[in-house]
Amino acid sequence: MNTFQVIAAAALLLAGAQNAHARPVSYPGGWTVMQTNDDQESGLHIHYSPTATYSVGYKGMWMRDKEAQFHGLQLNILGKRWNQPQSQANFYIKSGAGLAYSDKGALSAELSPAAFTGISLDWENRRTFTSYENRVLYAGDIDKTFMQKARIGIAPYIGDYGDLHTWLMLEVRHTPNDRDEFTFTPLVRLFKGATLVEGGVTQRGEALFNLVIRF
Amino acid sequence: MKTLFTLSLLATLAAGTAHAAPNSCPEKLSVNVNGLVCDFCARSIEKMFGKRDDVSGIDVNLDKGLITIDVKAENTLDDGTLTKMVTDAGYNVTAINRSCEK
Repeated sequence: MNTFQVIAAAALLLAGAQNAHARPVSYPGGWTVMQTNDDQESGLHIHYSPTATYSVGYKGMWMRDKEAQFHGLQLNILGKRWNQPQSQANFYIKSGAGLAYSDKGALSAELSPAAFTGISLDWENRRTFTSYENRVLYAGDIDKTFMQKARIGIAPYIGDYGDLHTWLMLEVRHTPNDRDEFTFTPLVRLFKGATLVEGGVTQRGEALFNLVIRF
Repeated sequence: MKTLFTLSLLATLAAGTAHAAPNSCPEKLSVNVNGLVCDFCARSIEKMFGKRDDVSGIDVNLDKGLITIDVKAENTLDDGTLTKMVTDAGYNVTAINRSCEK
């Protein structure tokens, strides 16, 4: 890897891969920075919402096992929102396109067009949270993967607006093509104001860390 | 003619007073919404209304699903604008109540 690639990969290690289960579409004119790390990927998604129904922005991923990186644009569309007196549910479509790069093994400085798409569903009230999302990624000879994951969560206490909010969650990820097909990650979500942080550890002892800041 | 002029002047003044009356004191808007369950998501409400020069304060009550907006004196937020802003922030308006804060 050359210097640029090392810097890009290092930046992504401080960033996030998949979204942190926070809204991928913000309010009109809103910016959001999503930074996530888990045992497979690190990445960064910085998006801007021109309207309340879609957002667009940079997406970067560092796929650890594949020693591959992706840089491109991501479009998030709010397909449907269900607002009820005591709950809210959302359906999103998230897609991206760009370039992937790897020099692992037989891939000698392989550069390939890459794209991904997936859906995301969530439902929550003030006490419980559930979500599901999936993603198909195609990056030529570098990577072709399908991933899906689900979360359940419970708030141990109900905080008022402006309080520090705490959620205890369990994430289950299914990656059929991987050696470890199922990954279970108990995690804690904390948020206060416009900052959200998540930390957890998989059953294999690998760390998860996510950060979302909304501007 | 003089009587006619006086009457029309009084009518004009009366109409002007009636139009200005609702804005003569700071208006407090209580907006009931559906979907208001997440503090982090509800920040969008503050961000959106906070940009407006005619809004002096905002409060969110997650328990009651209630947004309270303080409008500066001599200003008003009509129902259409209010509903669009709340919808853009991610929620559905179910009721709007207006009161005057002297």
